[in-house]
Amino acid sequence: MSTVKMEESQLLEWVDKLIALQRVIGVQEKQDHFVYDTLRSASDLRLDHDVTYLPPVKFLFPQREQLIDFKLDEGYESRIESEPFVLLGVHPYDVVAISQMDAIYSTGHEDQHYMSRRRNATIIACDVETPSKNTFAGYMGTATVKEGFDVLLTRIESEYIAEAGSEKGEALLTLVSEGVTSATADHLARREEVWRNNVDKMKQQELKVDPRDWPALLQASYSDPIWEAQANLCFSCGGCNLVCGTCACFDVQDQLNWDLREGTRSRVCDACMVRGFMQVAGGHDFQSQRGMRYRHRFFRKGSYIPERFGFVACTGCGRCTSACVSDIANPVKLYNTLLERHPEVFAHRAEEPAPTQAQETKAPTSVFTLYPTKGWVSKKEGERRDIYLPELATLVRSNPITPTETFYQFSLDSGRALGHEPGQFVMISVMGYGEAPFSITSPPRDDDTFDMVIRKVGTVTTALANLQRGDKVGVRGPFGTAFPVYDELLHKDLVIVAGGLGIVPVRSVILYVLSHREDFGRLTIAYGMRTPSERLFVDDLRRFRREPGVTLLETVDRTEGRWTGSVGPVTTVLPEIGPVTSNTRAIVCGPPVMYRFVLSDLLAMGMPEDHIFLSLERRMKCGLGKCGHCQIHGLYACQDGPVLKYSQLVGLQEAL
Amino acid sequence: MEKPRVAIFDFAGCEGCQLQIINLEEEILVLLQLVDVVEWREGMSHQSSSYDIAIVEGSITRPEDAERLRSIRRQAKWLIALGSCATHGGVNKLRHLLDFDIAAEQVYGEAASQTHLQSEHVRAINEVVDVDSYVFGCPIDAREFAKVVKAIVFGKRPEIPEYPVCVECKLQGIICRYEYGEVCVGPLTRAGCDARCPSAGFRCFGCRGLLEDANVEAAREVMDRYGKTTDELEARMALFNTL
Amino acid sequence: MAKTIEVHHVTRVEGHGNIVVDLHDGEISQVEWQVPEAPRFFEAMVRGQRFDDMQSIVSRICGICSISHSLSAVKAIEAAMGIEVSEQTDKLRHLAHYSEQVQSHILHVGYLVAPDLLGAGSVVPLAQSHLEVVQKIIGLHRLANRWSDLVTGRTTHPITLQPGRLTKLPSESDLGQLRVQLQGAISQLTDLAQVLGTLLEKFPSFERDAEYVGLTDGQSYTFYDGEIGSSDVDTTVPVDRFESVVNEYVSSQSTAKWTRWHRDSYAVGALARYHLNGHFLFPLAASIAHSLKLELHQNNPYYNTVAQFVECAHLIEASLRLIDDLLTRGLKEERVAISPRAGEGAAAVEAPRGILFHRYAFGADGRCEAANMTIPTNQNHARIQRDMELLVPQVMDKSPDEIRLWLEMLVRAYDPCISCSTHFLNVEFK
Repeated sequence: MSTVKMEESQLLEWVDKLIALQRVIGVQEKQDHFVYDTLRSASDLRLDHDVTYLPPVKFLFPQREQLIDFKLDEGYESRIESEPFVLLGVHPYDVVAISQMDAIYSTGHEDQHYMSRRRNATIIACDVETPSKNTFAGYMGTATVKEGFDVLLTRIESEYIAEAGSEKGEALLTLVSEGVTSATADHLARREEVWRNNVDKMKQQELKVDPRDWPALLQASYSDPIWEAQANLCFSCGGCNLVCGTCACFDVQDQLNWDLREGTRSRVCDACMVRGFMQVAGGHDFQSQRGMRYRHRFFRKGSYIPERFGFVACTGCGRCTSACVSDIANPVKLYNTLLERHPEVFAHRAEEPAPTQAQETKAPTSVFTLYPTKGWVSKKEGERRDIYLPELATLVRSNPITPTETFYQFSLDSGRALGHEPGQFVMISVMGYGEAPFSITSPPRDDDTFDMVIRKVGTVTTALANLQRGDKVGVRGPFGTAFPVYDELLHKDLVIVAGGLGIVPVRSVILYVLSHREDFGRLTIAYGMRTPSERLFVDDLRRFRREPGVTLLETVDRTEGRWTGSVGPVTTVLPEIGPVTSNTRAIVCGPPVMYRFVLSDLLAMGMPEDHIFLSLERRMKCGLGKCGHCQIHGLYACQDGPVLKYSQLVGLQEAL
Repeated sequence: MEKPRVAIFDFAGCEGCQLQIINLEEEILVLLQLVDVVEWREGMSHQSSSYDIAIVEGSITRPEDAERLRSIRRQAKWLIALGSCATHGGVNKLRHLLDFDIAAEQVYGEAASQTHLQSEHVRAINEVVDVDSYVFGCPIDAREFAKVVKAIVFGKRPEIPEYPVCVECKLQGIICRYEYGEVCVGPLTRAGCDARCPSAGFRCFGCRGLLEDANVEAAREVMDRYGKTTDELEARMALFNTL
Repeated sequence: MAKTIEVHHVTRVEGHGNIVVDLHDGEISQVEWQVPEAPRFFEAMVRGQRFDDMQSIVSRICGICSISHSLSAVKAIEAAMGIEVSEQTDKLRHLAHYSEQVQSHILHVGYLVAPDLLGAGSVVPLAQSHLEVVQKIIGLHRLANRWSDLVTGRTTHPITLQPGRLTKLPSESDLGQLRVQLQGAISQLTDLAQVLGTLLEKFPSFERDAEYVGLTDGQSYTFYDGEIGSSDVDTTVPVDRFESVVNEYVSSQSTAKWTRWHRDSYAVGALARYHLNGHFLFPLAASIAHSLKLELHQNNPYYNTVAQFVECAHLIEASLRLIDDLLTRGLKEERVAISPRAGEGAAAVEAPRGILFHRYAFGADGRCEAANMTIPTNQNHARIQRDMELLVPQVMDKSPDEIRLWLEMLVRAYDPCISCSTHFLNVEFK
């Protein structure tokens, strides 16, 4: 790869050539601040900027973008952008942020919308000339950068060194004017000097906690009252999220055209600090308090993302600090305070020799082995598809089974079998209204149909209730983990505890077990409902009662009419499940309040934590671990759940 | 599907919100394929007493207006409050900061006692009758109005933001007004306007109403940080959010 | 035979107005123009408010002429505090002001009056019967809206028009585009002028003598600068002495206040401006005025609509010149810091429906101590009443429906903005 030296005039000449070739988005001044915007002329470029108001990743992951065009009855089409462009003037901490976003959007299920833009982007980075007042990149290993760019510019007095970091960058450098020469060893030495200086320059805020220690410090501080105290000043405005270079969460919304037949589905950057971020359709908000949301942001960046991806989701740009009107977003202040409040976390290190000056200055480029070394792994063209594009399905039949719940059967128009396992969920779209997650209540089938039972609580469920036979919906999935009927549960005695709507996903298990009776031992079902008339699947229940080797224990919270059965919460009937042995496995599914009581009873009966399986409800939005709405500590309910072993949740206070 | 019949009414206000409906320009003609507008005093001669959706602009300031509003409510299956005067009283409620008799006398002098000048406490539409949908703003945003009407016709609950204006500033990369030393009510105010004022270089003064969970206490504490007084904050909050 | 005509809440006007006519055996027992709009007390409400919040409040007096209210407010504040604005700000304010005139005039001529001329109840059926005309009207209306949006940040209740400055400048490329669009609008305007020309006979023929009042600067068809002139006298009165012109009084018929100067009533608005400044029209406007038979001494109040249309052409020509001038000089960001001081000041601009006055007094802390506003529709109320009294005897023999239509058209011709005419007061300024 070449490294050349240019005079400033030669650089500007080169940039003007780039502008003539493709869209160049470069740093410019606007109202006393710096922003990325389309460059009309190289003379507008400001490579001496301290920090831009929004990070350059917004051109890869826009604040708003249209994902899908839909026609209600005909189908859906992805909108994938493929116009090549140049991002010019990207500081090292933003280069790292982009490579982090690459990892998030390419790991597992590749996000076509992001990745198509990413593949079409050329990143011309530049070393920092002016540090911003809130930066702490020098502590984060992000003050300088060795990779993740196509070209890196470094200013040495009146000259620029340009190094190609990729074939793409190499090609761009061939456009430099005649007279531009290779950088000499002297130039390279002086560039090393700039890099060394920049590490110090980018320590405007003094961070006392090594980012590698953030996860441990956070874990020790989970119950600290500081979260709530700080959040008293929080406006829940999401400013810290929306200016962040590594915030990746989004929401999805449908817009209808005036004809009410066509429209678009868009995504908008979302913010976990905003109220309702984790609210589910029934109204329950898993992070209803400001303090919870405030803590979540730090945990997501400093603990959950590192757990999952191996890097701290902060590159020390200081934008959140600047954006926060109340001055509570600054990570440096927060971590330094946590350190003061929890010195015990690092007490054992006291004996270690203090780092010498020499070691500290050596640190810059190697502090972070945690960062992804390769941005993204390119997949074969054929494997790429839009993970957000639903496939068409048709409503086969629907009938109300209680005043609020309706049974639906859909068939996939492609004719394929859904291929789900008991416990998994699908995302159902009623285009124009939105998309929501629903458990599948039918057992795995060979044909193209599947069943659901849905309570009318929100926009999508109301729209579903209004559908007529033959109407179209969109389907994505199946998603998530399943009850392991093919392995861990095989040949086991099963105790199924279901409360309320919790019967819907476990019915899939029950029906599977009944049709594979020889593969399983005893089956005990404990089902609790509010009132007798609200019981779901009464025909099924009648049948379960008659099946050999099946015990059905029912209870209701409130009696009415001719109910002769048990009255009380579902725990009332638990003593009747019989002895728990090492061969017993429990499946628990119900509303949040139910878990605590049922689990403590099961544990008291001698059931080990890893013999209990449960299914959690969260705000699944993308189903693929991208959007961030269903996070439970380090877990994604849509990927790591919804079915989890209780042993996985011990210590996770937000899970139950 | 039978077209819903729509009637548009106005009470005390500047009629700027109705103007935004006209400002849909050609889209009005498309809108008229979805609904039948059966009464709209500002725009048409025809008047009707039979309608499904009533769109009501303005505040209620006189007993006879309250009575008229109640009869509109009885007729309408769905009632939309249009604009700040209707949704929460808006600028009209600044009057509550004054002693009413003195205010009338300041405006009309000795003639203030004439009966047709008598005016009572200012009320938002929902302080008199039940409201089904709100279109916030002073003036309303025509696009949001269109969204709400489409949602109602489509049988969907219109999604109105319940987060601060700051979200929309940040989404657009609009520099925070506090960075220019201005007291902005955006952190307390319901978004949905696309941060119209900040994007025109001016602070938010809260025309869409304070959020249900607006952190007013935090705003008071923050004033110090910017060398401002809570008086200035209160005065600015009062412009469109006097009770 | 008794005829009682009561029109409650005249339609296709902004705000609420009633007409009551009582005829008995050929005798007129009552002819009354009433304004029952709910009063809103702006002059009292602004007391105690900060000078830099004033525009945000008084803009809300009227959704149709919010730019005019904003401009007269910021000019009055600047007069009170001795604030000078740059030429660039002044020109951009003119440009903003013109957008509102065009927007309001097109709304009035195209949406509110055109149905009368074409025999429809509203613009909606016209979309069927006269689609091409309606599309041109909508096209001009949209242009005027984008135009005010571009300069003031919004189509209604402008944001950028603050004391001493514009909070945001339009970009030069946006102004360039606006220029192209304005240039393109000329042909639509001339097409519509032809249509209007064929409809002139639909205006009732009704001539009467009246006093016309408006801004005049002796050298241009002004909307923004100048002193107060009258068609009755040759001398002018400085804006700062506007109270001696308007002589407000409360009528028993109205929540709004009425005015009188040299006679018991006077008229303001497009026709008044045309009387005072018509010979300063730019060429296109002058030729349209000629083609629409708009004489310099046109005394038929129904022709106010025609004068508004002619003004649209003039305003587009004037704006093209303004944009050329702004682009030649180039737009520059300005930094203006204003520290409030005690003082009192008055200002006037021509709102679309006539001359508009604001006066404020401020304390040293920049808070408003007194306010007085006189708006154009109030100045027309007495004239509307007199016109009705003159018109009814001439049309007594017609059917009640016809009388009603003529009276409604008369009210509409004045383009009354009743919602903003109901909050005005006497404040004694020493």
